[in-house]
Amino acid sequence: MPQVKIIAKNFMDMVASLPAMKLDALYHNTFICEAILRSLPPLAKKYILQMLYIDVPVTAKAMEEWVLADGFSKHRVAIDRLIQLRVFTETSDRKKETSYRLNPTFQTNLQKHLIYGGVLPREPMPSNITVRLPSLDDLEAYALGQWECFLLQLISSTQTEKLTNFSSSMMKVFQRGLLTQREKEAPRLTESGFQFLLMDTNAQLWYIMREYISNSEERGVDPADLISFLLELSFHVTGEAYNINTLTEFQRNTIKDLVDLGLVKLQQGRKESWFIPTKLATNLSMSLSDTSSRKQGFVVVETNFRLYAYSSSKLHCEILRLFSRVEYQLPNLIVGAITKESLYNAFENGITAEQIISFLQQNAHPRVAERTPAVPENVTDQIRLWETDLNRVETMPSHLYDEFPSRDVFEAACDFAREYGGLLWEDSKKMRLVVKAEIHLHMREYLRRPK
Amino acid sequence: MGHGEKGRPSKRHKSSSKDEHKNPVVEDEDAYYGEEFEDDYRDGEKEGKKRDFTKLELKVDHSNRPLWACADGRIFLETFSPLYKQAYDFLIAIAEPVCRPESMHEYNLTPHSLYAAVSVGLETETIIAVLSKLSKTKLPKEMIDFIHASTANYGKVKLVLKKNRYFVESPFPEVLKTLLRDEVISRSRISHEGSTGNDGFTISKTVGEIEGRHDELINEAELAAAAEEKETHSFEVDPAQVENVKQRCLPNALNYPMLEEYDFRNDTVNPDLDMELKPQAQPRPYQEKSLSKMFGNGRARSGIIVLPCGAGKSLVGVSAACRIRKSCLCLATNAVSVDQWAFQFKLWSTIRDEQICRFTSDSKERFRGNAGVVVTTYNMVAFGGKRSEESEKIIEEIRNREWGLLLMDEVHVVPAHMFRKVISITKSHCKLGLTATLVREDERITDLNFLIGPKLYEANWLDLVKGGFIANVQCAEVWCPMTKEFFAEYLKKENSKKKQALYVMNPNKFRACEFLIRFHEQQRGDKIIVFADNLFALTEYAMKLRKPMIYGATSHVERTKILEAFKTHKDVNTIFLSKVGDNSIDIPEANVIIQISSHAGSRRQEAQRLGRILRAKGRLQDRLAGGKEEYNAFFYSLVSTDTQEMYYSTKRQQFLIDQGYSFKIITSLPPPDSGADLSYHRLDEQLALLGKVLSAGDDAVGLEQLDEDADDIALQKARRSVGSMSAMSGASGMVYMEYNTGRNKHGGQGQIKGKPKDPSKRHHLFKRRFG
Amino acid sequence: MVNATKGLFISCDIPMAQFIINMNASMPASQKFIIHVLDSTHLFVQPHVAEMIRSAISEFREQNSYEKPA
Repeated sequence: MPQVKIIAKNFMDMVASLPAMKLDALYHNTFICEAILRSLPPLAKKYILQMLYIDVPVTAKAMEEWVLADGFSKHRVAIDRLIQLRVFTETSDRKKETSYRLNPTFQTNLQKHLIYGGVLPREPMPSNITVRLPSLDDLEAYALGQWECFLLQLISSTQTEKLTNFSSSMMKVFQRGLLTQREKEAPRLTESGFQFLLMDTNAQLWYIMREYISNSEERGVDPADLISFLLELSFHVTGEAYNINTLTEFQRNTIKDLVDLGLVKLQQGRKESWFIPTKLATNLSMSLSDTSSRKQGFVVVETNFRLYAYSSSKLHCEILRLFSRVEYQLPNLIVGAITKESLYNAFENGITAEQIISFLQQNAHPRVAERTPAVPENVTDQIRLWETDLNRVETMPSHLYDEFPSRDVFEAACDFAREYGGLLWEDSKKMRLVVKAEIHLHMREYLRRPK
Repeated sequence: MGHGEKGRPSKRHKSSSKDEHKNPVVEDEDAYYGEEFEDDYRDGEKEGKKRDFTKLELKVDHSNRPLWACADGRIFLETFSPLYKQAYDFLIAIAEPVCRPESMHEYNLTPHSLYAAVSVGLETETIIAVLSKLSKTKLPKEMIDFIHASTANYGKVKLVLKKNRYFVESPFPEVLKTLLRDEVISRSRISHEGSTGNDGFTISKTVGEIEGRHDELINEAELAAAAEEKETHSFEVDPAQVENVKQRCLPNALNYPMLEEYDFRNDTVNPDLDMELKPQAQPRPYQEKSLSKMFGNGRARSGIIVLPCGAGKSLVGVSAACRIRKSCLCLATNAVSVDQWAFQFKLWSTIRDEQICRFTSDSKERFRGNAGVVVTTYNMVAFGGKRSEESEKIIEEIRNREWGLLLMDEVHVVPAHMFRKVISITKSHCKLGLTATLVREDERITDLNFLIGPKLYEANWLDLVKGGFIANVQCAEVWCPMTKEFFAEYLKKENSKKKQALYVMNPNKFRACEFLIRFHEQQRGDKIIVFADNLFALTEYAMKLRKPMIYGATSHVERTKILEAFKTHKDVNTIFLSKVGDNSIDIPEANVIIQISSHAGSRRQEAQRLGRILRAKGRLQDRLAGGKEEYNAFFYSLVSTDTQEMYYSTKRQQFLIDQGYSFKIITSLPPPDSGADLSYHRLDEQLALLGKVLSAGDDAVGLEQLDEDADDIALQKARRSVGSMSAMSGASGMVYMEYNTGRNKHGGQGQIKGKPKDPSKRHHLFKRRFG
Repeated sequence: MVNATKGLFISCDIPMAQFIINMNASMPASQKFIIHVLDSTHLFVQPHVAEMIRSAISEFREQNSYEKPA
């Protein structure tokens, strides 16, 4: 089974992967410090608070004593994470004893934050200004609409009616890894691209934001600035309007991109312009596992392999096309069939049976979601069996060795191949063995070696 | 098959006639039930057609309405809608069900289905109004036009037999005028001096439809209109000319096909039969509903009622006969079935023994008195050869009598020519056809439509399961891997004719079968039927496992004995049946079916076999969802993997899958730990079996070749076939041969449905596909 | 001395092994590709035949499976 190549890391993973200097620079922003604190596992949070007013390093040994025996693995995870994020710095003395202390910038800012509280650099629109604000539902619909439109353009579907303002080079960056980009050939979704489409919106958003940030330097934008702006944005209130004038020039430019992605909505007042963060923006700093904003399911799969999707989304239709045969499109219903042929197409594109099944299960229409299983067993079984059926014959380039002069030589050769992890098959009666092609050279050398 | 061509299924039978010659074995097999056109047809027609109806205007309150209707005739129905029940009753009257699983049904609006709708009294505008009311979107204009076009002429003219005088009747005098412009019809007319009306038509009132369920959905004004009495105009025709008049009204001529109705209450000429339903015969809601479609306006309509096996078709038949209360001729497919029908009549009605008689080659009874019920087989009536003196007398009586009801069982297996013959020999006022499996869009539905009448009602399988009226069957496809040695032989070109024998006799399949029999006999105390179309396999399995078997050559006496033992004896819990057991043999005790070989890709056979265990057993509350016996019936289909059988197996299941059944795939039977206690555990045993299969000459691997018999359709003498193993697919009696010829005749026409056997019997709308 | 042969190692189930063996048997001598039948589920074949085997199997699979038309 192909490996899942895209891991939708959460924002903090991305933060953690910044170079040390950038990371240290980030901690000058109070919001980042708070966001980091929020994102941490409970034990790590506790350590930070415990060490917030300690200005000397604490030995690792001393810390280990805080932990009960069965909590040790959690302790390890917490410490690793803190070091990764450079919230803890690690020092070793001459006796090779390890100590930790809190990153001073982080420490100072978090102390300040505790005393003064976090204050956004801007206030929401005062109530005396009468700009009609969208309802939360409308705003969510808007955000998802923008996002869908972006995705459709991303997969180069002909279905897009409205194009985003992203430059084609920026779009190429997003498509990197998701689409094949061969010359003279229409781009095609890659294996990762398929998997990307089957992920839920939050996970997709992480992926795109990561690409957006990692490419920022090429656009002349400091990734640390970008990260801190995005984090700051996530502390704004969904649905409130904020004055655009309070933004720096770089932030104003960035906001345009965020509109295209559905993170904010722009609203023109009589005199001034306002931006309204959507749920997509305010969810940014939440960790991935926190998917309280689960969308309502829309797919009904029947025992006869027919599939009914309550959706008017063209993107949904495109996604269903990845593994099913779409037969009818109605104003609010897509009708399709899961066929062997459609699945084989999907498998060929690197999409796995499990991904399809989990997509169908996660998006089950409330009508069927409550029954168990939400997707009929005969359908999920069959999808898996079709996949297994494709993998019944495995081939591997290899070498076969025979005509061993003695059993000892044969057995030694087997052991040698086994040690290299390259023994595919052996027959001790006939003294034959097959090894992977990669280790043939080692094997040959070994066999030639005088005993 | 010259150069060892593998008799494999071609993926899609889009084959040109050339291919068909190359692959005669497969074609023959598929022609068994003559279903194949349907697929090719749909396939070709719809490919590449754009079915984007996103532009349809969605109504504001669409979530309260249960269905979507597409311009090409497809309709989607949500079963979880509060309006589901009403919507279902309406749709089943106007459209053909495509699939009816749990949450969403699909239907097709076709000329046939609309013809049926009109026949049961629905009018064009009512159909459109109700459909529009139920639809989430505005109705597509194409659909409205189509309904208009299809129903324009249907149902406008009726042929009514009243007091033994024939009348052509219509609410539209202008239509009658059109008919009378035809020379044949006008010559057939019997004019009466002093008749009323400007055109000389007799004017009378008929009662509107009693059943008004659809009307709940339309507004009050429309409702009032629908309930109003209708004025009808009529003229009388010469009884001798009735056939000619009917002929002239067919679609290829004047195109006003006549509906036939029997005003049995006013029939004073034919004597009444003193018979009524016993008080304990309580028709279930769906049985009532089908009867109400038949007797909707106080007269008896001819047509077909479709109910799953085990749902009580016979009670519907007996009830119909009890309402009409005239002599009834009941036709069944074989002698066993004749006995069972006679029994059902006595069980449900107050008919006296001397009023009912059986007419088979073994039993030549005659009823006393001037009215009664005769139960016989299609073949007894249609038989063309020389009869015994006694038979000749009885048949003469059947010919001369005017039957109130012609009750026809299992109409899906009876070929059209036999119907024609039966219908021309017997004179009946009303014809009722019963079937469980109406496979759509095949040739026969058209024949049935014109020979018997439209489909009057069709029940939804899943609803009956949910209501506890039929058993909740667990279906499973058991995958049996071929053993190394059997598969090696299977793949060899020189064995291309032994493929079927090899996959049926696959030791892994045998072991799976043996395991299942033991499990169900010992662990659950079930009663098991094992089906094998292949006679060689049937005998090998039955002998090895020491179980009784019934096949074509088994005598009537022997059969009755075995079935009786199966019913009553606690040690006889498994019987092996060849395809003679597919239809009409009633074995209510059985609750497990194991199918080890079957006829190619026949969807109907699969459904018929499942039907053997659909009769609900046990207490109702136990059978309902959550009850302790929620699943107490099991259907296993044993399939050797990596063989043609896989292709056929999937195909066979399609009809049942469309009714909402699902087949669970079981891949590890028998379980790995059951070893030596099952047969063919050792390699040498397996090799001996393989040797037996391979060395058995084609003549020894006897295939059930069912021949025509003066008595039965399906119960026929088995013959050892000398020749190819191809016949091993369980080639069939003449019943099926009919379709063979039909198929060959139309072979290679690809997407075209093929020429009808009798072009005069076909309406242009039935030839042309919608859209 | 020990002898080494370059080839393709095939690991599969019993019927698939039989299928490949039968495929090999039906080819003219010059095109036979199986070097060794190792056991009932393992074969050792010429290095270049992976694609040919794959497509033969997929064709065989097609023949044995029914797809309901749209």
